[in-house]
This record gives sequence, C-alpha cells and structure tokens, in this order.
Amino acid sequence: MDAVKADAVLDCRGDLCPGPVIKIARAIQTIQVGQILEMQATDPGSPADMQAWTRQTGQELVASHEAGGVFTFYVRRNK
Amino acid sequence: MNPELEQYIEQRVDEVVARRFKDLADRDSRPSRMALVASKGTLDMAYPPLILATTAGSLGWEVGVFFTFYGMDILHRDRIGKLKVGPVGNPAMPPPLQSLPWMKVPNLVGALPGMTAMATTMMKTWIARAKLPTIPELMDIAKELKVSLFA
Repeated sequence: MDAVKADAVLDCRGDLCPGPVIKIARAIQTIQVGQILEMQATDPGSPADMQAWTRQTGQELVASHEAGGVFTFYVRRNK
Repeated sequence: MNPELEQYIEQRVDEVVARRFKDLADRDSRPSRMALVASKGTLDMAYPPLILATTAGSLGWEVGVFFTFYGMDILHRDRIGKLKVGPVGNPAMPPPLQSLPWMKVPNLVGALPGMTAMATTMMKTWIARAKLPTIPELMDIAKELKVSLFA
C-alpha cells in the first residue's frame, strides 16, 4: 500500500465535511491526468465522502489507510 | 413460425435492445443537476445553499443557485461580508454555554441593543474554530466550480 507514490499532497486534517471534498475537487485540477494525489483528513465521514466523490467524478481511489485518526487517500486523476 | 418472420423479429429486437442500452448509457453520462434557492440574508441561513452548491459542484454536478428576497444580500458586494445573525425569534439562540449549561437567556434579552452584533461575533467565532469557510470564501469557491448564480 505504501508503494503508492504520490505526485502531490493535500492536507485536509482538521477540516469538517464538506471541506475535504471541496478542497480535493480543486486540488485534483492542479495535477496531470494519470498522476496521483495524496490527501490526509481527520473528518470521520471522509472515507464515505471520498468513495462517493471518486465514483461521481470518475476519478480513482487507488488506496487508503487510517492511522491514529488520520485517513490517507491516494487518488489517481483519470480525467 | 415462418423462419423469415422469426429472423425479422430477432433482428428488430436486437435493434431495439441496442437502442435502449444506448439511451441508458447516455442518461448515466449526463451530469446530475441541482437547483437551489437562497432567500435569506442572515449569516446562518446563507450557509445551507452555498454548502450544498459547492459540495454538489465538487462532485461534478451542474448547479444553479437562485438568489431572491434577502438572499440578494449574499450577492451584494458591500453586504456579503456584513451578514448578521439575530438572536430574536429563534428559540435555538443563544445555545447553552458549556460552562454554564443551566443559564437560560430570556428571548427578550436578545432584543436589547448590541445583541445582534454579539450573536454575530459568537457565530463567526464558532465558524472560525470549526475551520469552516466564510460566506465570501464559499462564494469564491462556488464561482470557481462554475456554479451558476441567478438573481
């Protein structure tokens, strides 16, 4: 899982819903198609939000894990 | 059954099924759409339409917000940063203080001079503490996400 190499990192720790979703929607535009964005969040709703967001926007949730209340997501920009 | 007729039916069914599948695929590829009305000009009530608009916009939805009545203040260059929340006529205001949960403030107190400013300051403090965007920030995000604004 840690083999995933991110091209950019977005820190959404401390942001409440829908902060992380709004921030990643803007941040994903700053990387190239095919690149991977790493996002960290502490909002407990973020795993469900990220699944819904990637499904609806056609981006890909490559991997995710949680450690000490911090969720980390790796998203590949598909379009 | 006449083999020619059978062949004809089969061919027609294939055509219709293919068309139906294409229609379904087209429908799924169309973005979801959302229309919202912002009719209130208070600090608290400016949030719901803009939170929904920016979230839906982040999901790639086509969003339109219609501003009407007091909601027009959200669009007003000079008023957007000065939206207030009043404590009068709102039974949920002020919320109990964590340090003094037994203290109930009579509604009438909310009508005293300065109480609107005080409630507004309190709410802005909570908003900042919760790291929520301000209303002008939400409007900037909405514009960036190509949310359509109607007035």
